[in-house]
Amino acid sequence: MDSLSRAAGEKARHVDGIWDDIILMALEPGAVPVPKNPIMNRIERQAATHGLATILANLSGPDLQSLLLEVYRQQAARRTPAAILAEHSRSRFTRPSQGSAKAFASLERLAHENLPPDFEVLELSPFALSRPVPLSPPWDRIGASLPFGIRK
Amino acid sequence: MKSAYPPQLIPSKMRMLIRPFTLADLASFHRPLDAVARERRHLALLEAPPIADAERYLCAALEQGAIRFVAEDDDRVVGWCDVTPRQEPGSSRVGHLGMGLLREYRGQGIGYRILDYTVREAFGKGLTRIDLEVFSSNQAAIGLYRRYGFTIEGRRRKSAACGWDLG
Repeated sequence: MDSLSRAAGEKARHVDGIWDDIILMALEPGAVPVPKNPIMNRIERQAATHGLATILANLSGPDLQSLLLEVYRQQAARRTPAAILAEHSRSRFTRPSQGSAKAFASLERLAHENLPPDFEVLELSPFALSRPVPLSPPWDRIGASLPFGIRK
Repeated sequence: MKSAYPPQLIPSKMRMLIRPFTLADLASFHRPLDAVARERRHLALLEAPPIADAERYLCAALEQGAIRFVAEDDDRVVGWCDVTPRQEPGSSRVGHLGMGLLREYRGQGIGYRILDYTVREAFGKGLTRIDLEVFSSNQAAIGLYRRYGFTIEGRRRKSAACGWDLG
């Protein structure tokens, strides 16, 4: 039995007897479904650069750091101290936590007490603000560093 | 391969992981490749090449900048998707896509997810176009590609004879 006869006996893909067509398809970057993260959607739309996060994520560490420094430099150049202060109180990344500092401290102590003996607690570099700030609440809570456990 | 995308668990199948392919996956990758090829409905292969040949091919593809993700279920590769930049002069920003998924894992959204990872990674690395070829009888795959955004650009009539004479 030759190969075509065997093929005809199989209930394989046919559109025209034993032959099948091959469909040619293509995709360009603009047709990629928009990521579901609405914040990234908006940023990429405003920047008119689809896949912006992916492009940045593919930069080397030093290049990304240089880029971010330049971004911060340009942003800083056009901001007033009052605007920075206002933004810090609005931003979800810098505004004071609604959680209880006492509860966090208790949780931290409890975590330390229950760490296995082969863990060592490290103090990471504290978060440093780039300008003088009042030391009254809420700013004094921003500078708290986080404990971090590593296995010895 | 450094990836912009961390390995991700698929919520509906918590053991399922999509991650970049490494050469350590060779043996595990070979099994679904062979299984899908032997269906003789989806790939231009009758069976997977011998592992040594597959390794040579995969090494060469990685050197050419190929992007390949695998879907892994319980430490077992069950599917893959890859984009290989074309080697012809002037076409280096065009990638060719191929993918496959074991039959029992189809129809669960896994193909879409692995396709999405691979395509985004490919465009993130500078490709400006991805193309593919699919048998016209493979309506499930064509539907997946269209849902994702691929458009049909042409049809090569009677180009393949049911897998038996390919290759």
